[in-house]
Amino acid sequence: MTLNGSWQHVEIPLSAFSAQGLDRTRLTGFEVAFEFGTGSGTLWIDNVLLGTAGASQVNRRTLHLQDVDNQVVALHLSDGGIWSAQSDAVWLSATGAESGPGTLLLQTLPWGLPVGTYTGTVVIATDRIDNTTQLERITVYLTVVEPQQAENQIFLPVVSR
Amino acid sequence: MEIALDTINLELTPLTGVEQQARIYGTWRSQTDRLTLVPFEQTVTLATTKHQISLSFPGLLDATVYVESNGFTDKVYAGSGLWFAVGQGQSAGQALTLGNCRSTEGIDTTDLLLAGCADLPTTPTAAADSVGIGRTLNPNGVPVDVSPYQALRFWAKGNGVPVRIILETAGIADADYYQTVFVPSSEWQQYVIPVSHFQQHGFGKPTAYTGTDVKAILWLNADNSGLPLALALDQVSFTNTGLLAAQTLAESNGDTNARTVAFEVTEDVAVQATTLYYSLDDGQTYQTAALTTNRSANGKALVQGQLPAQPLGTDVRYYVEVEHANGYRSRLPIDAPQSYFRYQVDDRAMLLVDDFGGSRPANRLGGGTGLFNDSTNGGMLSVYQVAQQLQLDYTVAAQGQYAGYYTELQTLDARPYTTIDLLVRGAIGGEQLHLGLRDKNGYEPRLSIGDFLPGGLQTEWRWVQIPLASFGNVLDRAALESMSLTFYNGYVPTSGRIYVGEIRFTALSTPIVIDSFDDRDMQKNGQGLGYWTSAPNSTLSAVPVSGDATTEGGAALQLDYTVGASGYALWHSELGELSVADSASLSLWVRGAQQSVPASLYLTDATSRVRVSLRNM
Repeated sequence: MTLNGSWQHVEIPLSAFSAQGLDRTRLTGFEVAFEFGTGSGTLWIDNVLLGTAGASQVNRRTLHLQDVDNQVVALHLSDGGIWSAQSDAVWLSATGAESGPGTLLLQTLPWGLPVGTYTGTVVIATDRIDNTTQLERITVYLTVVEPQQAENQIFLPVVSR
Repeated sequence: MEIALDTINLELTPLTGVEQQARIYGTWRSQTDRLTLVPFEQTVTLATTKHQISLSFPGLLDATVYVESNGFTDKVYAGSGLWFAVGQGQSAGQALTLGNCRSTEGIDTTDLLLAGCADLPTTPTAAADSVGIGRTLNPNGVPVDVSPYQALRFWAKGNGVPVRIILETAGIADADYYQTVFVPSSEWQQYVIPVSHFQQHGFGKPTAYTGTDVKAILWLNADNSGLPLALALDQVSFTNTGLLAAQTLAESNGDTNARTVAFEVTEDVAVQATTLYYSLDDGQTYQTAALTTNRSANGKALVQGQLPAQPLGTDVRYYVEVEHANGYRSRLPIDAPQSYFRYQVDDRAMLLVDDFGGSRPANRLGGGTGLFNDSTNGGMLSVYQVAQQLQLDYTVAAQGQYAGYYTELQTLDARPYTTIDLLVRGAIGGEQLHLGLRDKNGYEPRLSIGDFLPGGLQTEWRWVQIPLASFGNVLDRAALESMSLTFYNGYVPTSGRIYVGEIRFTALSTPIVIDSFDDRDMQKNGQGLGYWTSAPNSTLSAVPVSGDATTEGGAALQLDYTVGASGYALWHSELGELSVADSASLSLWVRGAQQSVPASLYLTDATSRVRVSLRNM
């Protein structure tokens, strides 16, 4: 890789280490070394993880929300990779850090929806080290009891002479 | 003679067989003024048969009644305890509204009724257990034997502030009285709380509950959330009607069939109606399901029903309500729907430790909770349960201090699980704490939450996922005794407030964190272990700095190096003897300009160091 002053994600298969004789059942340390040269410099590192082999999953696959509502869901990633969340409903948003395991915030945006029940799906796509993409789904049921007006409305004055 | 609310009913029986006059006089005291004896007097004509005479005294505390007739005088004392306000420096008369109580018609005649009612207007709270209502059982503070009764019953109306009920007894000298907490509804609701539900806090000497020496009952604000307390109480009695206990509850698992639940009811008075309530939308709405009642010869009945089949992914809350023929109504959990039973239909192994929505003070596993601090240096922690969340206020400002909260895991075999997850937020963000797991041998590694939460704690709810593997191989995961949350003086801020919404074990996967540096702690990494550096003929500085790779508010590790001839600069993070046989990759974020000295990444085991060049990635 070429360092360019920006944060870059590095993912190395453990097979690259075990092929050289590393005993993966008894790891004793992780090291960063500057060697094979002279000089000075600065390197920043962050979020050093050992990715596991399991599937990426959320802790709740079904949610029931009502009117203006929100819920946080734990997103379990098997590795520290990149993910994205996409909602198929305009009244439902899904946001999160989009990197590493963490929290997915699901919020309803029921502006203008009449009283009734609605169903939406959030699909979380995770990029795996083997260049595959894994999908996880959350089904969200929204019940609108009180119709909501848009949260932010701008009223411009009407001026006449 | 009998007392009914504010009325004393006298039954007079003439013995002479002729009509005669009787003078009835004496003094009485009001609940609002214990110091003034108010005289009363009246004369009645008694015929030859029994007479019922009612004497009415608004806000009656007690009365001494004389009946004088035909040269003889009889004397009776009538009275129970008194209502009083707790805290705020107010007398009972200023703070409480007494009287206008509901009719006592329908009260079980075998109950021990504490006459009267009390209404505490919205009152500011300065600290936990500082404001509320009290009721003595005897006007002179003499202990009363309530051991024949198995439950405390009353009507209550509140404002959402949790209320602690304390049974003050003569046999406990260190104030560690038997107590329990409930959240009164904003509408009048009847509560029946078994005395078995009361427990000592644990800060004093353990003393068995006998019920023979109860002096007073206190209803106090159970937290210091800053919310004022409003509370009204009526028809307080000790009773044996309405006792309800769980026999079979639904457990979280992948079973999508209907679930059978069962409860045992003590039937001193016949059960008239039973209802099972369940919610599929996190308690926003409840539906009902039928229950059947099977009576047995021992005066108990089994109330049983089915929660409908649900698909995978469903989260179900439920509670039961039983109504007796005399109108007594009890629920389980006792303050449902504020508290509730819960299960998830999920084919993945998960175990809910606590969601702070069940009966208090036990967690969902039935384990108790408690506090601890450094035995020498101290440390302050106050814990409150407010609106289905745990609030922890900590101060560990002095050198060497720490303070923590623990919840018992009942010797849990956690081997089926891979992570412990915590839903948490800070009052201002940036608060730091450690999560510990203690096994049956007393071994308790504690890991910094900041290492598992990119960006650290924030004011919004976030899930922390901690791999159980990170607690090391020494921890006996087959027998976990407790989980702890600890605040240390070595971590800033040294005072603050955090909230916990849920604690659960899962069998879901999550990466093993070597370090995220977000706790800025260079003493312990994500495995609770340390670091070292080596730089022969060179220099190396390793400092956590602001500027997280992925999240605002976090930190990263800055490595400044100078490498001389034949030298190198090495930063090493300890991993113990970590097994990552199931792991697939090492991942990290890096930032920097092109390095004048090539950077290498190593993983080490007991006998070898294996290198990958960063440049070759």
